[in-house]
Amino acid sequence: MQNLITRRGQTLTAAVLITALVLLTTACPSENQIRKAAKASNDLANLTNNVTDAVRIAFQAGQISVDAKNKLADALILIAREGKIFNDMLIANQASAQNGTFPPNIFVQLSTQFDKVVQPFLEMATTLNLAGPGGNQKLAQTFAALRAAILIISAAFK
Amino acid sequence: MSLQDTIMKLNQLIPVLATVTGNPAILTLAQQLIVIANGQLESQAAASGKTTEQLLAEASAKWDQALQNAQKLRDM
Repeated sequence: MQNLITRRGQTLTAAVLITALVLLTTACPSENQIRKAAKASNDLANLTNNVTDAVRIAFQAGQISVDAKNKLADALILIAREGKIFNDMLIANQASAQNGTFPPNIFVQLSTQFDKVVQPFLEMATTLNLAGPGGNQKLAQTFAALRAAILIISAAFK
Repeated sequence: MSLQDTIMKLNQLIPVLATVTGNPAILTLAQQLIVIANGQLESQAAASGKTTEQLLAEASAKWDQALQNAQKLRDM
């Protein structure tokens, strides 16, 4: 058990190292806020669809329970609804952006809504304890990679 | 540093991490990260030729699709 914990800890440490490296090197500060936000919205919508497909495939292959599938589906529904609201807010506030930069009060509203999309993604793996004993290691790794992607997208927008 | 440079550095880093941690599972994880990083690259390349308005319109349709797909998953 101790060995398992140590290995998982090492894997997590390595994942954090990789994530940090990617985060530090992929943000693009030269682009304006609204374009970054539009790309982030696009990327998150793509990821939501990809994760939904991955969960469906895992469920059909008997790798996750009905309960786990339903919890993930509920989270994905929430993400899609909040994501749509985020995108609608971007469209509605496009005109208020001067030189591609939102007024501070608008940016706070957008940032708050963006967190509503990102946070459920980050909590998915933890909530379901996918990496726990008897959990699906491959799916857990997929979520670890997904977590890194979310952090990259977040860093690019914020 | 460009995303291409990042991917190259990740490729160099993976064997080191696998050795340091003694955990071959890191290879799978790192490979998945590279796939995602490549996906980001493609996404950025595809996005570069589009206006912000086009990106937002595309995203809007994708979110609608994501909601439909997630609801279908819930009903399975």
